[in-house]
Amino acid sequence: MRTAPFIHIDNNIAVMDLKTIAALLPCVVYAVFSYGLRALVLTVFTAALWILTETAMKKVTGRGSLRDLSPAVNGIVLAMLLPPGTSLYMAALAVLFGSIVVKGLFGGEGAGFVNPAAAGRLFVEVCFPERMSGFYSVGVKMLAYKSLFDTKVPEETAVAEYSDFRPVELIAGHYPAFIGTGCLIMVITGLVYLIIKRSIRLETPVAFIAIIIIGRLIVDVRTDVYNTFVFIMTSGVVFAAVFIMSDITTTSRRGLNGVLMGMIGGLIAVALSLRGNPAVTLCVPPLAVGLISGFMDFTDSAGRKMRQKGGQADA
Amino acid sequence: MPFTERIHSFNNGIVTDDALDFSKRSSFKKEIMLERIYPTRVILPMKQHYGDEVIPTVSIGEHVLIGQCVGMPAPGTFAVPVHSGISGDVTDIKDITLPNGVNCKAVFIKSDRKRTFHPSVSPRNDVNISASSVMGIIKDAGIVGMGGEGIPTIAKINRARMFHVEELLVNCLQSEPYADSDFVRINNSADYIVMGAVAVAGAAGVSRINFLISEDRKEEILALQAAMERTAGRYSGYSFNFKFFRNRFPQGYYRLVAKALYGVEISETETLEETCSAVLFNCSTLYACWEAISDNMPLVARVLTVTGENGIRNNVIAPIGTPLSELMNTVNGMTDTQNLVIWGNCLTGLEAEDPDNTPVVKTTSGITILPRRDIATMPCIHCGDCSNACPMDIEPGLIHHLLKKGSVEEADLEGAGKCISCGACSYICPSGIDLTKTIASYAASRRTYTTRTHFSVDKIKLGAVSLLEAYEEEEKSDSAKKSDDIVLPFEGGKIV
Ligand code: SF4
Ligand code: SF4
Repeated sequence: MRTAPFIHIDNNIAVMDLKTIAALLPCVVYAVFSYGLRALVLTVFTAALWILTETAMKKVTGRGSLRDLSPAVNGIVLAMLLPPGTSLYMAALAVLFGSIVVKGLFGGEGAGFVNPAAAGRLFVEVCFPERMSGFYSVGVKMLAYKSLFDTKVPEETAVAEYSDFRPVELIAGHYPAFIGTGCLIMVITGLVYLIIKRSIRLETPVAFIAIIIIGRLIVDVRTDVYNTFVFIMTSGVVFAAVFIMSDITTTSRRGLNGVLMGMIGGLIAVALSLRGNPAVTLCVPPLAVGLISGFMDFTDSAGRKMRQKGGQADA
Repeated sequence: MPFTERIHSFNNGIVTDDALDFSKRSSFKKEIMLERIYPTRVILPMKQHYGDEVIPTVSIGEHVLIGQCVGMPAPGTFAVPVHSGISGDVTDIKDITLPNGVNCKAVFIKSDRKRTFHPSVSPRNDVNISASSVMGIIKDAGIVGMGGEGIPTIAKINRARMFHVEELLVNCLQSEPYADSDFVRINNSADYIVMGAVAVAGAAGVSRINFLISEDRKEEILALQAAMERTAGRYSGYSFNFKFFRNRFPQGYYRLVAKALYGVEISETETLEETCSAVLFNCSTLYACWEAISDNMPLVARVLTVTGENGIRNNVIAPIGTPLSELMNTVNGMTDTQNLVIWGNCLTGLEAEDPDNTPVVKTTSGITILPRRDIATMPCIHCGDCSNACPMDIEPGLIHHLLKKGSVEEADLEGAGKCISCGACSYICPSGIDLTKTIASYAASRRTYTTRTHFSVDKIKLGAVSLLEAYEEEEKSDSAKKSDDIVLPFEGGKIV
């Protein structure tokens, strides 16, 4: 006999993933518009490889089949964080690290500590920094598919100072950046969609961005506060706030906890921004927050009980 | 509503998808399509209330009339009578089991299609009715809490008198998806509800009457306001007020009302009367009280929402005892046997496996028919949505896990026993985990307190005297005299 409740919210995990994918589409469109079909190939490749890897892992470990679309989300988010000149080899390495090491070994669906896309991206940045520097000027269409299979270190193109770009160019994403994080308008479009679909909680992302703005203003007030604007526009932190910091699985998103996590992430981002590596500035805060959330869970008596006894509520 | 008015609310809870809340969107409500159901037969369980089973007073073959008593409480039991809502012949008296597991005798009556009323059912002509007469009428009419609790209304009035409560709260906070029977009742009969509130307030010795309603129920607020204005001018002794609430499920539960209205956390063993000096009655219950007082009509029918996802929705007035299958037949398009028939509403109801032999009872505010579909389950993703939704401020995800692992003591420490089975956590869980089933069954199994304790049922039973009578005896020696001085100027259902 069935028991109550007899209805269920539409927002199940697969639907939530689908909504996130839909929210990411404007960024994908921007990526293709700015960096050509090469960006599309990279995005499809990372998403497909992530799905394949997780499916294979599930088969090998006997955990059934894929039941959500989180591998596709992870793959697309990762692609958006890559420099436009990234080769497929580097992308594949990032996917394998994110899916097998981070997501697979830490419990799989729903039980990860840190965002796997950010972890995969950071992994290739730290291990192969010279191969993750393929920035190109906007407007150079990357139709040279051959470069997707390049084993050579990509050549750096001389890029003008971001402060030389006009505000409207920065807002529209008309400057060299990671393939999907550059256009604020597209990121905000995705955010609005998620808000309308009630598929995002804003505590963490808002606190994250607020602290970054405050922190950067404090840093930049001695030089030029315009730099704060440039940083917010060009660093991809808004993308990270919307699509990584809001990750329900790895970031505590309840009320004050969510605000606190956002604030900690923001502080870390400000500190890292002073050192200048954009990928590190973007990926370390969500990873740190994920670890802190996990640690807090672990030290919390209730959370500890849960983790010790197998990690997750059984379906 | 003045914009400065405070909006009351408890923490958490859920606001269900707008798409589900058809009552806000559909036009039928404005057209007041309150269809009357004339079933071919009724099944009257002898235990439809909280308390003891009553004894059938009719025999097989006997002809009964509308309003006739067919079940009476045995002396010394906590119970109220049961009456027939149709005229016809008693075809059977046998044991039935209701979806909530209650096993009791039931009187089966086949309609004669004549709708003949019992001679006692006629407008009351008394000029003045004392508080104790009102209580007698409510008791004899078999009225129980129609919002779902099923506690005999007379017992609640007595408890209110015993604790000398200061406020009568009228619960107009129906909030479960699909259900809007109370709102239809308000739109149709706000005067009866307001008059019922005055009568019960008078009987309970209370002069302050507060209507609890969601701020966004504009139509119903206007209907009640108009009824209050019509009534208030004639009753200087009673004050009427609205208390506005934020619309969320399960707002109407008494412990959440206490939290939202008085900021008081009522424990499982406390009562609203004792802790907050207030007594809470569902608006449909008060309607029934006034119908009993003015028309001398016992509780033989009720409004209920018959609805489902297939687009056919209706509010009907059905005699108590109407088999669910007859309701489905009447509301066109709901006969599909592939559907799940729910005795009650979609978040808190129970599956009726045999709709032919499952009747509407006094507490049934809705019948829901939904397509059978399985919800895919996934592991918990620790999103915290269940904790955000739980009105009792517990962590359903964690408690579910602990119970599944057999760590009962730890689950108890986490507050598992507080669960009120509202279903909000399972409804909201994106992983489709049935948290409610696990937690609510545990909570039910450990519940040593019961409403029986609140009403001292067992103690009274031993004394071989009806609890209801016992309370009246108590009253007589205590505050009954004072209350009896309150003369309610009712005449023939009209305000004098
Ligand atoms: S069913 Fe119980 S645990 Fe779940 S939300 Fe309701 S009260 Fe909380
Ligand atoms: S709502 Fe479901 S998935 Fe989310 S924490 Fe609760 S049990 Fe886990």
